[in-house]
Amino acid sequence: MLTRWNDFGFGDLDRTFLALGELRDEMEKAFSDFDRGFGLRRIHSDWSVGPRTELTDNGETLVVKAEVPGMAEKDLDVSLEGNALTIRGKRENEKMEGYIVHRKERGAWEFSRAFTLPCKVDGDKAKASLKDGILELTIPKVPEAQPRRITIGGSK
Amino acid sequence: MTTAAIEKNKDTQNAAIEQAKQIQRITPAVDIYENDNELVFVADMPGVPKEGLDVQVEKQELTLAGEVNEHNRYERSFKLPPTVDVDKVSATLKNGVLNVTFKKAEHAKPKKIQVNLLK
Repeated sequence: MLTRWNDFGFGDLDRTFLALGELRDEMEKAFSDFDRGFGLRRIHSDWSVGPRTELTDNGETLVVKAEVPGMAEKDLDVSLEGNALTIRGKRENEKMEGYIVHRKERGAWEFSRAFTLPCKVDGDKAKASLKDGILELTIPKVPEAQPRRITIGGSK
Repeated sequence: MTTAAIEKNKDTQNAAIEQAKQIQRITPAVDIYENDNELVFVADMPGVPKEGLDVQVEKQELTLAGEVNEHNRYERSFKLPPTVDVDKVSATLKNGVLNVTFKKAEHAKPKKIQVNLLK
């Protein structure tokens, strides 16, 4: 038999999550203190799943941002087919010949990431820019997908 | 729910909102290289403009920091070995990658010692 949410008594469940949240906060604190000396906190790079991205809906346009540090225009390839967006990128290792490597957290990196945009877009008018290691795509929606203001009919 | 419980709940929520307003500190990925002449730090800091960079050396401790916006900031510190000359440092920022290069102090560079064998 399936358990219904209500059977738990929601208050108790709530408290459990709150306690878990507190525990997590404590652990984060402990880690951030530890990091001050040793640099062992979660590092901002998990390239196995591709770059960190962000999609914003500005009404008339969709804006996609992706973190691609160390890549130049020639290292990136963006394609749009219908509302399927694909971003490919590649970066080489710096050539540091004759150097001893003390720490290696960055690395050569190659990714291909595909997204389904949430609405129909006008691919011909899409624009891309690259600044400070952030790829920014501005993709206009088709007119039908843009928001419409609905006026409230004044009935007398 | 009692009034006290509701109040406590409110406090918890407000605390969460305050926390969200704070700056998020991100630990950037860093590579460190060294040869006889220099010590090189390379950090990924996508989204940081030149004006947002903040590289400091204090008491042989290097801090690499960069502000993306008012809510997001990269920051990481490293102890520098006494072999580097903290006054001889150069930094570049390209495509969101920060490179900080220290020259080694003269006394720390390896010297070749000529050995004359006695015959």
